[in-house]
Amino acid sequence: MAKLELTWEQIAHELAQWEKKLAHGVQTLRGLGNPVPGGTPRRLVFECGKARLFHYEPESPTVQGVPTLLVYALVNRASMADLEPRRSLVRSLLARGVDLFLIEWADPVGLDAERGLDDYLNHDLAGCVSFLQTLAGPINLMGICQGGTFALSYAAMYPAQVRNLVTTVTPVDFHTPDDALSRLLRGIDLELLGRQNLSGDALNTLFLALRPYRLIHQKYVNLVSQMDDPAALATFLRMEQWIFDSPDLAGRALYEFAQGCYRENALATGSWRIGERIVDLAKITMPVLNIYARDDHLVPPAASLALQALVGTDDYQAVEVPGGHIGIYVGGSARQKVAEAVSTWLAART
Amino acid sequence: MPWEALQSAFMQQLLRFTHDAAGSARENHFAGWRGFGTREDVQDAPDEPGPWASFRLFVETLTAYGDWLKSSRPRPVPVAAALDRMLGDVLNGLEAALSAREALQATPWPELSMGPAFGLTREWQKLGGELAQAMAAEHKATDQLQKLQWLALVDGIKRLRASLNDEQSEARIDSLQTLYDHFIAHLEDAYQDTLRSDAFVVAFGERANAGLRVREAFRALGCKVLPVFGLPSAADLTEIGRRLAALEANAASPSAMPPVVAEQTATPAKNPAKNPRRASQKTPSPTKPAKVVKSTPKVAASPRTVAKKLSFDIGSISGGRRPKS
Repeated sequence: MAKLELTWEQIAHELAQWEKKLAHGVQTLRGLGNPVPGGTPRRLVFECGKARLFHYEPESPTVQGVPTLLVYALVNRASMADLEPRRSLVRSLLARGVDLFLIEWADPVGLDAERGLDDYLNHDLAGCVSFLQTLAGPINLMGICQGGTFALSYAAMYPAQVRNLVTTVTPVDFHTPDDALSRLLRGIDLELLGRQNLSGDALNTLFLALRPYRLIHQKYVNLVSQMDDPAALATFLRMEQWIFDSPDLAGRALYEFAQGCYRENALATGSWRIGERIVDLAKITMPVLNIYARDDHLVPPAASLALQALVGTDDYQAVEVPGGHIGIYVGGSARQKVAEAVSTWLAART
Repeated sequence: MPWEALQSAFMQQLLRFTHDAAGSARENHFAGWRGFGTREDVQDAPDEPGPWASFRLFVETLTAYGDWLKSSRPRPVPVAAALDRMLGDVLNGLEAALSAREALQATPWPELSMGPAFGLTREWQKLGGELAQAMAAEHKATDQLQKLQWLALVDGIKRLRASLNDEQSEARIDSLQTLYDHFIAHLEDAYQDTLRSDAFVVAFGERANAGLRVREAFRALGCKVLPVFGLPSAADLTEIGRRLAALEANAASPSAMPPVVAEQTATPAKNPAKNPRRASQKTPSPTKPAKVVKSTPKVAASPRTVAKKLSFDIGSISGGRRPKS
């Protein structure tokens, strides 16, 4: 037992300190109210189906001439990109002159259970892109996670409308050996899953099942060590709000994504069909920037890096950012690295 | 009574209380935990049923814990040895609990065989029976999954114990926080190995599918129950959706035959993989950017009229439209 160098006094002292922090933290928590994500000034400029298109007020004296449309996933909410002023990818991009638009997906209701990806992409997203095109011609498209898969698919289906494409933590090959989510989904009856909308809570349960000891236990125990810092506590509460305020997923869209991507790996094999269109990634001939997280447990790096072999462009660049699936957007240095990589890369091509 | 014994006694009382409250149908879920309460040193726990005994034990446990903290006396046993012994006890408890679960699972679950439904309440009998069957299947699937999770936990604690006894290791654990992080890391590693196994994928899938079947059974029962109280059911919503889709299609193509007349029959939601596309979901061509904007008044105006007739906000399912602001 050479490794353990602990005494009973030390344990008692550490526990006493821990309890003191906990007691103090409870008081701090009471004074924090209910911090929520978001806050960067923006304006709703267009709606199409379930898509709400927002324009962020520029923060830089020089703004890039081509608008950049940020597409978020149907899973969770886009507010993660604007968690709070000091942890906001949106603000970091604005500060670097990106003219930023964002699509927020409205929550599906019971009547939307049969809403499919054809509706979300070929109607809603297409409507927003068309709206922006009438203002500025081909746009820059940037996607986050599943939103990256949407951006990829859209760029492949309508390459003339996309000037530059940026994907971040985007799954492309859904059958890499280290893809735990993909493995878990293999045993699930997807047809049964997609008969109704899936609740956000059910989806979160699935995510928690991927790392239960870290996500259900350690996260909260370690919180105590930050409880004397009101700012850190407020950040924690915003993250918790974001993580567990998950919208339901439209049954049909969920089925189509899970079946097409996770079960059949059709995006990687070039056989994915959305509505009447085949998603052929070889038709992506515009410049592509592919950002992935080194420690991503939801979208392993290999799942993102598969993109290079599938796109039809010679102007492809991959950037590795240290951090996890969410950490690269909210962590201090990682977020700056993402924003710097995106803005510099876009500026050189705009 | 020493603190550890009080903890065990408290757990035993708590489980007894929850078990009594939940009834014998949940026997399987608590059988494993009860394995913790078989140690001799807790046999003298007060046999006082109900929440008061549990509460009293809880207070005594807290008091004992506080006294222990306050005393801060040097323990007669070194921390490392005590920790090793504690992990050994935990492993024994877990393995005993797993054996108890195994024994209980060897007893087949009561079969909820459904006979033919008949009489005035035949539909209720059928729907209730299907729900009961689905829930029983869900309990069984949960048991299978939990067993694998417990095995992963046992594996994780074994790994932790081995790691702490590894004299070749250069890692130092010099704080409770480091020890805790070490503990979590080993549990998570063991869990990840289990997660990657085929057995886990199968068990997880069966548990998820069983839950989805319960959802289906509840939905079917809800379709029967809600109209009794004058509330719309999922079947009603599906029907409203179909009528709106038909009206939207009709509004978008004035020359088309009004399909709403032909599709009045209420039908529950079908398999999304097999459902024909809704007429309203025909999409504007993104290659013609002006179309979304131009078609907006036509698409948006008609559903508003429909919404007025149905007293129903269809903004969320309408086509492209510019916000008023």
